[in-house]
Amino acid sequence: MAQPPVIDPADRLSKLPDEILAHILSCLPAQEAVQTCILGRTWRNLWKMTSRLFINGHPVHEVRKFVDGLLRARLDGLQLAPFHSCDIVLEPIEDYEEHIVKSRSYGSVDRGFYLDLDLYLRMSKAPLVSLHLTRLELLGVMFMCRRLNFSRCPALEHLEISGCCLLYVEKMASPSVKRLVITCCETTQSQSDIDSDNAQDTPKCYLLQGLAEAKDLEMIAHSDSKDIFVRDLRWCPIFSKLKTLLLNYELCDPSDCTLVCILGHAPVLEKLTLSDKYKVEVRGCLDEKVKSTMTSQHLKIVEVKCDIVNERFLNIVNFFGTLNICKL
Amino acid sequence: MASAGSGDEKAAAAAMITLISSDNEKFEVTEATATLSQTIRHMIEDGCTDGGVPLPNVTSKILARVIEYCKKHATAAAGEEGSSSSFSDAAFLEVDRAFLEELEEFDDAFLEVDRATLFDLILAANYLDIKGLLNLTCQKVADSVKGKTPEQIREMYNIVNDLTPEEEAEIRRETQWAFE
Repeated sequence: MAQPPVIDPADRLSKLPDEILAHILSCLPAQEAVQTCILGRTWRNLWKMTSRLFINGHPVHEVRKFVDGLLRARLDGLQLAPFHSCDIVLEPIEDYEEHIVKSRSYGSVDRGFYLDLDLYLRMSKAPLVSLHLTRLELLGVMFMCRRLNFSRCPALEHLEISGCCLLYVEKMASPSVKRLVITCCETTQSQSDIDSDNAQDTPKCYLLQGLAEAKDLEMIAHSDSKDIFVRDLRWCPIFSKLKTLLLNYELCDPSDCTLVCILGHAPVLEKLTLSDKYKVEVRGCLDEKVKSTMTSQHLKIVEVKCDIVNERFLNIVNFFGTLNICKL
Repeated sequence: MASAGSGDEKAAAAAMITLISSDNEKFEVTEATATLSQTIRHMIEDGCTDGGVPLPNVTSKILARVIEYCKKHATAAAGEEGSSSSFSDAAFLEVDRAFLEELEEFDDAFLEVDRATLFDLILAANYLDIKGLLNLTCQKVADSVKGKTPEQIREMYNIVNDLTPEEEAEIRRETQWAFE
């Protein structure tokens, strides 16, 4: 190769302070960050100072040895140079139903229910253990345990589970989580959609029971998952601490009982937001003199957000009219 | 844009701070702009900004660029504060998204600098403790070496390999798990 133009005769990069170089290495995939150790003397130990563990695009078995090696090498120094975040993006293992997996590109992950199973990452039954972890986001993971236990992560406050398979999970436990987001997951409920007649007779509250202690809730359902909520509401718990609640379009149709039921079970609710596509906003304060036996006596604000004033919107207005809430 | 407007109004009401570069040039900025720098924020909190803040490590050329960055991002921060009081206040998401895109475009254009300037910006961001700018500029350097072999990186940045062959062999032995 021809000699490239001399851009940086003084090697200013190596002369940057160590903490900046470590910052730069934190932006690289961990493998590449470690491999800079042979660039020159300055670089020898810099990879031990990175604050982020970033692994991208390998199947587990390919990175296991690397991650073990990395953690072992950094273990002694972790007090001084801890990881502030870990981003681990793994490719699914292809040892189940190989013929199916191989013929599918990753683009089709969100297609069929049964194909999905082969493209999840399987998370072992052993509970996650971390004293310091505060935020955990899991995407595309299949939990192989019945009890999803985060009680050994006592600092965990923010837990997001999306696009995961919760088919085997019966219970989830965490003493510390303050914000829980579950989106687009497969649950036993969606399975029982197939035989929904039976499901309605099962006296079990799947989702809401665990949320009964929540202070703030956002419930967003799509037309196909709405049934979970509606069914759950038959055994609706009392949301004794719920102060703010957001419901999306699917859940605020007064013609079914969702809204009525939730309001009836939220005695201290202060702010209710009914949201559609986030464009037009109708904000209103309830007339404080008006009190309804059905709703929270503390309810002060109802927000209705929707694109167009359509029939359902009018229904909602009428509905609040029936609750003696006239100012909206 | 509503959020940008309210940001300006806020800024106009705020106090002005004078920053003085190493070559003695003075820059008047709003407090909202200046306090994107944690270093300056602490100075303001300690009440030692009267008569201007001397920044002996930053040239006027670089300081002008840093201020350009801070102005843009201070407006963004003000917009965010004004717009949503809670995570569920989704009415402003659309506005925010458009604004974020604009901000991203600004950042991309901002990074169109030669390598010497990039290093100066990194050092200034580090000295002034401006997290966003430090992340942005460090990411740019990281991107430039991503996917390159150690030899290619050395060539690109004129890094002299001052390791003896024995040392290099030892390091490779220690970190064997990273080179497989």
